[in-house]
Amino acid sequence: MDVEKAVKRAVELGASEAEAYLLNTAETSLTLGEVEASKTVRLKSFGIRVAIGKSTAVVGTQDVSDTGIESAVNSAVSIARVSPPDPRWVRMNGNISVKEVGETFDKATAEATPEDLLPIARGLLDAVKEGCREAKPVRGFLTSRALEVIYANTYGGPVERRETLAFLDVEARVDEAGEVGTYSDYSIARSYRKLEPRKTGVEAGSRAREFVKAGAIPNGKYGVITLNRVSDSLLPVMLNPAVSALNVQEGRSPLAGKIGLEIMSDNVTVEDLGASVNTLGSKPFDDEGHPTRNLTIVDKGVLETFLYDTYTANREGRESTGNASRGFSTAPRPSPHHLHLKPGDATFEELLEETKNGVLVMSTIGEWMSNPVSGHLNATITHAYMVENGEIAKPVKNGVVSGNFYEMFKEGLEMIGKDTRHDYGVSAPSLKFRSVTIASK
Amino acid sequence: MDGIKSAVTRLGIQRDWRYIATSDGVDLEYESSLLGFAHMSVAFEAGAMERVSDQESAVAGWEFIEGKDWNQFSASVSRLAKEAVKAPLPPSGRLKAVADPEMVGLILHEAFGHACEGDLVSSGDSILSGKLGGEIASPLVTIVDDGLAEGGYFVPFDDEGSIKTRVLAVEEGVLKSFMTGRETAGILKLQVSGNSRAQDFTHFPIVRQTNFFMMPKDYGFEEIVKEAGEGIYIVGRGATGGQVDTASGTFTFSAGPSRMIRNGELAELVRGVVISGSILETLKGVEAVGKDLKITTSAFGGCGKDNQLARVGDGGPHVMIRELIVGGG
Repeated sequence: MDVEKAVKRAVELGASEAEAYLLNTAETSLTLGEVEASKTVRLKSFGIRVAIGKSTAVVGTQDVSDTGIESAVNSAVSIARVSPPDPRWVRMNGNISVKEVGETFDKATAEATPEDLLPIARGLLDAVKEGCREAKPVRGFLTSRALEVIYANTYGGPVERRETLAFLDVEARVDEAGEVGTYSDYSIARSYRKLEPRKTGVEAGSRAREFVKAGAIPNGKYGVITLNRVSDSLLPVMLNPAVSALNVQEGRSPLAGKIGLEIMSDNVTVEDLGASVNTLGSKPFDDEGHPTRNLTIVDKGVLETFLYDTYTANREGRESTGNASRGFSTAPRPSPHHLHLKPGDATFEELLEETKNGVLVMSTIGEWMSNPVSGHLNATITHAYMVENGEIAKPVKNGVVSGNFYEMFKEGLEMIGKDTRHDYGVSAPSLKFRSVTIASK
Repeated sequence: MDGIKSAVTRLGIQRDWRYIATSDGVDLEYESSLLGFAHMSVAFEAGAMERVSDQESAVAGWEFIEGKDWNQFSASVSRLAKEAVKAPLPPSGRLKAVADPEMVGLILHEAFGHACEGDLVSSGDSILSGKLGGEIASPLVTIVDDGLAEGGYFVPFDDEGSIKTRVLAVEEGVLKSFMTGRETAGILKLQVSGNSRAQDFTHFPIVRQTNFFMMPKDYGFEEIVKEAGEGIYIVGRGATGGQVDTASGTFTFSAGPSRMIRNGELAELVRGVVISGSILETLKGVEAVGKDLKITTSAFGGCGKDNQLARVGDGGPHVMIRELIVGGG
């Protein structure tokens, strides 16, 4: 049963509105290291959301046979019949169309076999040794993935989008006189042929050797440089939930009531690139079939807008920003497609040169445990360098970066680099902050 | 409740059916149900916001939901959020710590359990590689992984069809064994412990913990706090999780609203507590182990590894640790 028929079937069964969402995924991946394996997975997942008046229900299934879909549609209608009405429900998205975002699909990546990926994996493992002869690749992945979404609802469709994605990552380890150094790096692209196995492997191998001698960071306050990839991991943790209109409306965002106010330093501009060419995360329509767009969320420090799906937009009587995001078995929620912090004009070397006594943070874990409701940021440093008089002095590890995210980005932000790193769903350059607390030994 | 700006209550129900047949004759099937109730409250006061969430789950039937007053449960989460929004951050630096059973579970799972997973050990991605038979913890520490522990998750056999056996990972401070699946048991020359688990049929079975916990000893809770003297009592209620870099041995986790310990007694509440440490130092620094064993699981989360989620349980008694790094204000 296709998505249009599923929508019609829901209406026949008594739904006043219905939307159907079909997700096809195909993935081939290699696991690298001592234990090597390959796998290929093809999955079809179907979701149906129905409204009966103001009562709604969502049901998902991975049985996409006619009877499987019929059963899911039946369940959704039955659940909606007994669900309490949501007084804020207005209607599903009525603006179904697509935005031109360039090519998001690479046929070779969609059809890649383990044999196609093997030379890249070998190149990656060799590059680790090139980075350091004693380095051992202890863990890694190489994955190529294709996604296809087909969407229709009572008001229109079907619309269809496809995208491919390839990524690799590797962790290297060096043992020297009883001490251990490690480092990992990754590469992401639309096509597996655009991955950078050599650069990634060399970086992991050579850094792993440097970190054999990593010491402790003395407890204290420092000028802190977050390497671009660390900026990429911190920004979405704090901002994605805070700019969601749902969290704002439900009183769970520290940015509620702050539209038009300066929430960050005036050199900070943050965008959501929903409809940009060559941007990982941009797509022609969101998960409600609404066309995407590029939005400026923070303009020179001033909060301009939150991100809306149809439900949250209807609550305020405005148009969706095209930011609906969902899994096949859950209702849509607003979320950024690709959070982008605009680069400044400082080179990475200039950020270093301007740091008298500081810490260059190369890698963190646990940043996802930060609190986007209170705005308190925490990240545990696994790899960093002490910076003395503008130069990298020595490798260090183990310390907790802690502080209020918005204070860091308002009073604390000194310089913005121009070395943007593009990851899936986020891109940001290296950043330099003044006086950041690091708890350590 | 006044002062509560937002609240979300969730009911979690999971039915997990697994059927495994292999070419060497395994033909096994089981079904389990996991139920849970979770509540999150956001408190607002004087321009500051704080969230606190808590959950209780059990491998059980509907009687688990009927058997408890969940209104009272939610109200107590809200009261804690209201108290926490006014609380300061802890001092930042090294502190002596008393951890409650939930925190002990989280510390063990992150700080030690992952490093005992046979696949990480055999690939060299664990700091415990090559340390079998060595003294890696205080002699007070005994740690097991048990698929059938009371209060934990239910894993009678793994997703390669091996019976899950109880793994004695650490006995009185000595590293005794690792968790294994068929492949890693072969590489490491250990018994197959039945720890090879897959999120679902689209994933490889990889070595995972089941219910990983510390065995109790003889200290009472008040005795531990008194002996700690000065430090922090880290509490699991409201914690959001943890993460470890097994190769370098750095781990981190968040605690819920916790209390400072002053003059051997519990003192003021602190919030935003994040702990970090190094695997080997932390377990060597265990100075007292309580007698009150508690193991818990969750229907709302689990453990992530290689992009797979697995339900797990963890716990222990109250434990005193010489020193942890606390990130605060």
